Amino acid sequence: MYFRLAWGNMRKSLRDYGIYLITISLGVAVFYAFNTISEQTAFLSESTSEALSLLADLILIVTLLLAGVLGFLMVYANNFLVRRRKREIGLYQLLGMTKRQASLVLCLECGTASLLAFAIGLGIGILLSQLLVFVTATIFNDTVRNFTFIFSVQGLLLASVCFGVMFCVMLVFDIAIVGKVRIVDLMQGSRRVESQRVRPLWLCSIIAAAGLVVLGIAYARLLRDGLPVFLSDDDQTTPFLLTTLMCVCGTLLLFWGLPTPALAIIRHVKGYYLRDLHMFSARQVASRVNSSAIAMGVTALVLFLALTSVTGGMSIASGLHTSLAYGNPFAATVMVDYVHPDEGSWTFPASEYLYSEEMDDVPVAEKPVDLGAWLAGHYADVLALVDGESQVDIYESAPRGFAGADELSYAEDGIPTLGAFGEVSGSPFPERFASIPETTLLQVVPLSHYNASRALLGMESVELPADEYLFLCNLGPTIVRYFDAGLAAGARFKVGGEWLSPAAATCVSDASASIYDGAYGTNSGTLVVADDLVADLPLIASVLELQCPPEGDEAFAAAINEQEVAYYTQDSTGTAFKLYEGDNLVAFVGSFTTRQEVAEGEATMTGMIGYLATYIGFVLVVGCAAILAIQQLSQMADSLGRYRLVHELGAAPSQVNASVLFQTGLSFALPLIVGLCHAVVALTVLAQVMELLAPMDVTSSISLTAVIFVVVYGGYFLATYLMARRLADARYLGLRMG
Amino acid sequence: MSELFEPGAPVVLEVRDLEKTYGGGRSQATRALAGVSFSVSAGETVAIMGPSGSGKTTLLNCIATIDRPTAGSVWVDGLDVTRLSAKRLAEFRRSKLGFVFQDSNLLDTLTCGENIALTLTIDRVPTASVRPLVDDVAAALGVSDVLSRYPYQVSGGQAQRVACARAVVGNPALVLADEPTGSLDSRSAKLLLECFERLNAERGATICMVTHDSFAASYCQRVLFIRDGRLFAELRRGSAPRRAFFEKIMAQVAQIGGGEADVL
Repeated sequence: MYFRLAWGNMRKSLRDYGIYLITISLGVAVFYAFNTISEQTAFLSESTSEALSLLADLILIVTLLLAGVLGFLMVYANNFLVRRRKREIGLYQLLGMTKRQASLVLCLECGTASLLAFAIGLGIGILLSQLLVFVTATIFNDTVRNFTFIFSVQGLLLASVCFGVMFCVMLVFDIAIVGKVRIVDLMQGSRRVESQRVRPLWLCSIIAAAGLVVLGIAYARLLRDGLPVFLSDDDQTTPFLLTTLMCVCGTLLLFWGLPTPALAIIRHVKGYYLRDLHMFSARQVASRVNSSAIAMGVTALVLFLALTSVTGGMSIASGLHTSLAYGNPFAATVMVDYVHPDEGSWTFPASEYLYSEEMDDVPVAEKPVDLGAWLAGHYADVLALVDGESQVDIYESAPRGFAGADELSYAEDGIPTLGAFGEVSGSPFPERFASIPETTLLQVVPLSHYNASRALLGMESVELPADEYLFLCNLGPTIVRYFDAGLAAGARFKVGGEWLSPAAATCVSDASASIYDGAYGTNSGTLVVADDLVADLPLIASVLELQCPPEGDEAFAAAINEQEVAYYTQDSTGTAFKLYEGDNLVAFVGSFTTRQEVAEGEATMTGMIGYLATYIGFVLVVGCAAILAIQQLSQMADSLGRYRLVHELGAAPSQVNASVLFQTGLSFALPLIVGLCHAVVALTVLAQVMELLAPMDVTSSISLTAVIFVVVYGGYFLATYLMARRLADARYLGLRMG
Repeated sequence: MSELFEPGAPVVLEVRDLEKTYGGGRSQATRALAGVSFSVSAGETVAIMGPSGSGKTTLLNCIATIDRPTAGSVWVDGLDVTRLSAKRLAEFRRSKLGFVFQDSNLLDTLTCGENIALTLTIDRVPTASVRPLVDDVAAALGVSDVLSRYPYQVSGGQAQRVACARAVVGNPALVLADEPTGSLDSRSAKLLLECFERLNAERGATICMVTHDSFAASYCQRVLFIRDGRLFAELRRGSAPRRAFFEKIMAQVAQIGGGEADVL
C-alpha cells in the first residue's frame, strides 16, 4: 500500500522531480564513465596506459571531491522539494499514519525515484564509456586497438557508493523534516507564505555597497599580488587566502544586499517599470534572490570555479602545446653540470645545490668534458642513429674568483645579472618574483657553439662583431618583455674584460634559443659572445645536442631505453650519474632527455589536464544548473496563484511568457555574470603566472568552456524555461483559453 | 443609485440560455446551470443570490470567461464572449472586465499602489498617466494612504477596497465581484459596499456581484435568485429605501431556502 502511494506520488510530482532525476542520472553517467579509465588501457598503447593509470588515481580523488559537492547540491535540492510537500505529509498523519509510516512513504518515493535515475544513469554511463575510449585515444594521440565492449565493476562500485551515501544523507534529512514539524504546521505548509519581511533599503544598500567594495578590493589585491608562485612562502599564501575569503564574503554580501536597492532603482525607471508585467517580473526576481541569496552566491562561486578550472586548465594545456614547438627541437640532449667549490654557493642556476647532500667528491673541471667522445664510449648504438651532434658549453656571466653576490654591481662592474636589465630600462623585474634575487647571474655561450647548434636545426649561422652580444631567452612573454626592454635601452655588459653592446633590440626566442629539450622554454637568459671572451669565465654545464629527422625519434628512443638500465646502475651510490676522467670526477650527468620522451610527457600532461578540466567543469556546471532549475521551478509552483490572477487581470499569454523568460533568464544569468567577472580576473592573473613559462592564449581554449556552458547550462535553462512556461500557462491554471 | 440608472440605458451584459454541465458520462453529469437568461444595463448594480451549489459561482465564472459554458451565450458590451479566441480573450478581460474576489487576491509581492497600477500596465496605458489614474481611484475609495504599503500590511477591508480600485481603475464595462464581503467584518463590509455605491454613482460603474449576504445584496438595484441552476426569482429595489429592500430580500431568502435560510 505504501509503495503504491509512493509510486503514485512520484508519478504525480514527476514535474518537480524531473530536473532532480535528470541530474542524478547525469551524475551517475559521468561518474561511471570517467571511472572506467583504468579499463580503457586494454585498447591503447603502453605509454598511454601508463598515463591512464596515473590519471585513474587522480580521477578517483576528484570523483570523491565532486561527489561531495554534487551530493551537497542534491541533498539541498531534495530538502527543498520535500519541504514544499509538508501539507501532504500532514494529511497522511491526519489520516492516521504514524510519523514512521509517513517517513516510509517519503523514503520509498525518494528511493524509487533515485533507483530509477541510477539505472538510467548507469545505462547512459555504459554507453558513454564506450565512446570515451575513442576520445581518450584522440586526447593522447593514440589509436584504439581491438576494441571490445567494456564494463567496469570498479566504476559501478564507485558510482554505487557515491550515490548510496548521497541517498542515505537525503533520507536522514527527509526523516528529520517529517519528525520536526507538528501537524498543525504541516497543514498550513502551503498557506503560510514565507514571511515577506521587508528588508530596510538603507541596510541593503549598505550591504550591497560593502559587497561591491570588498569584491573590488579582492580584485585589486589579486591583480596586484597575483597567484602565489611559491606555495611554501607564507608571505604569498596568507594574503592570497585572505583575498579568497574576501571574494567569497563579497559575493555573498552582494547577493544578499543587491535585490532591494536594485528594485528601488528600477521602480524609478517609470517608462520600464510601469509597462506590461515588468513590475511583477522585477518583484518576482527580487523575492527569489532575497529568499535564496546564500544559495545563489554559492552557485556563483561554484560556477566561477568551473569556469576557471576548465578555461585555465585548457589554456595551460594549449600553452604547453605551443611551447613544445620551440622548446623541444633536438632528437635528444645530454646535459652535464660542473660544480665550483669556491664560487658554488652563489651560482644560482648551477647544479651545486642539487647535489649538496652527496658532495663527497668534488669535480674539478678546468675545461669542458668532450661529451661526444664520452657518448661514443658508452652509447655507441645510440650514436649510430644520429645525423649530427653539437656541444654547447655554458659559462657563468661573472668572472672566476668573484667573491660573492653581495659585491655584484652592474653599474661598477658591468656584470650581466637578472636585475641589470631592469636597471637600464627602468622597469624592474616583476615584484612578485622577488624571491629570485636580482643578483642572479646569467649564462654565457660562445658564438661558435651557438652557430653549431643552429646548423643542427638547419638554421643559418649568425655573424657577431667582437664588441656585441646576442641575447637568448625562450621563457614566457612576461620574462621576454622584461629583457627586451633592457636590450632596447642598450644594456651594455662587461664579459671577459670587454664591454659589449646588444646586437639586437629583442631577445632571440625561436628554436635556437633552446639549448636542451623541454616541454616549455628552459632558457632563462643567455648571452652569446665571441669565443675568446669566455676563457676566464667559470664553466657551469655542457650540453650535447643530438639531431635526427623526427621519423627516427621512435627508434632512437627505443635504443636509449635499452641503455637506460646501464645508465642508472653504473653508479648506484648517489642520485646523480658521475662522470670521471681517469680517477678524477669531472661532472655530473644532469639529464638525458629525448624529444620523444618530452613530447609524450607533454601529451600525457595535456591529456590529463583536458580530461580533468572537462570532468570537473561538467559536474560542477550540472550541479549548479540543477539547483537553479529546481529553485526556479519551486518558486513558480509557489506563485501559481499569482499567475492565475495575472491571467484574470487580462495579461496576454505573450506578456506572461515574457515575464517567465525574464525571471528564468535572470535567475540563471545573475550567478553566471558574477562567476564570469570573478573568472576574468582570476584568469588574467593565472595568465600572468603562466606567461612566465609559456605564452598563454586564453581565447583559443574558451571553446571547450563555451561548449560545456552552452550545452549543459543552456540546456538546463531551456528545460526550466519550458517547464516554467507550462506552469504559468492559463490552461494549466484551469483558466479557459479560447 | 436608482437616480443614475435609467431603464433605456444600453445593455452591457446579456446572458442567454446559459447551460453548464460537468462530468463526461451522461448519467454522472452534474448540471450546474440549466438555462439561465438575464441582462444587465449600463450603470446598473445587480446581485446574484442563491444557496450553496445553486450554480451562482459557475455563472459568474462563465461571464468572467474563466470557464466555458456547455451551451448558450454571454454577450458583454456587444461581444459574444463564448466565441472569443485565446488571443482576444486576454484582451477582452483586461479592457472590458474588472474583478473583485472574496479574499482580495492582491499580489503580495507588489505594493497596494502597484497592484492597482498592474491592470493599467498590462493594458499598456502610457506610463505618464498611470500614477494620476491610480491616485484618482484610490482617493475615491479612501485608500490613498495605503498605496505604498504591502497587502499584508493593511487590514482586510483596506485590501478589499484596494482590490476594488484595481477592478475599476481601467474603466471596465463590467465589474464582477465574487462574495466581496465574504471575509470582512460588518463594519468593513459596510464601508466596501458604500464604495461600490459611490463607484456606481460617480463613475457609472456597472457591477454584478455574487453573494450570500442579503445585506450586501440590498445595496444593489436588482437581485436575481438562482436555485438548482435556474433563475428562480427577481427583486427590484425601485425607489424603496435600502432598509425596506433588505427586508424584502430576507423574506425571499427565507422562502427559497427553508432550511438554508439560517446559512445565508
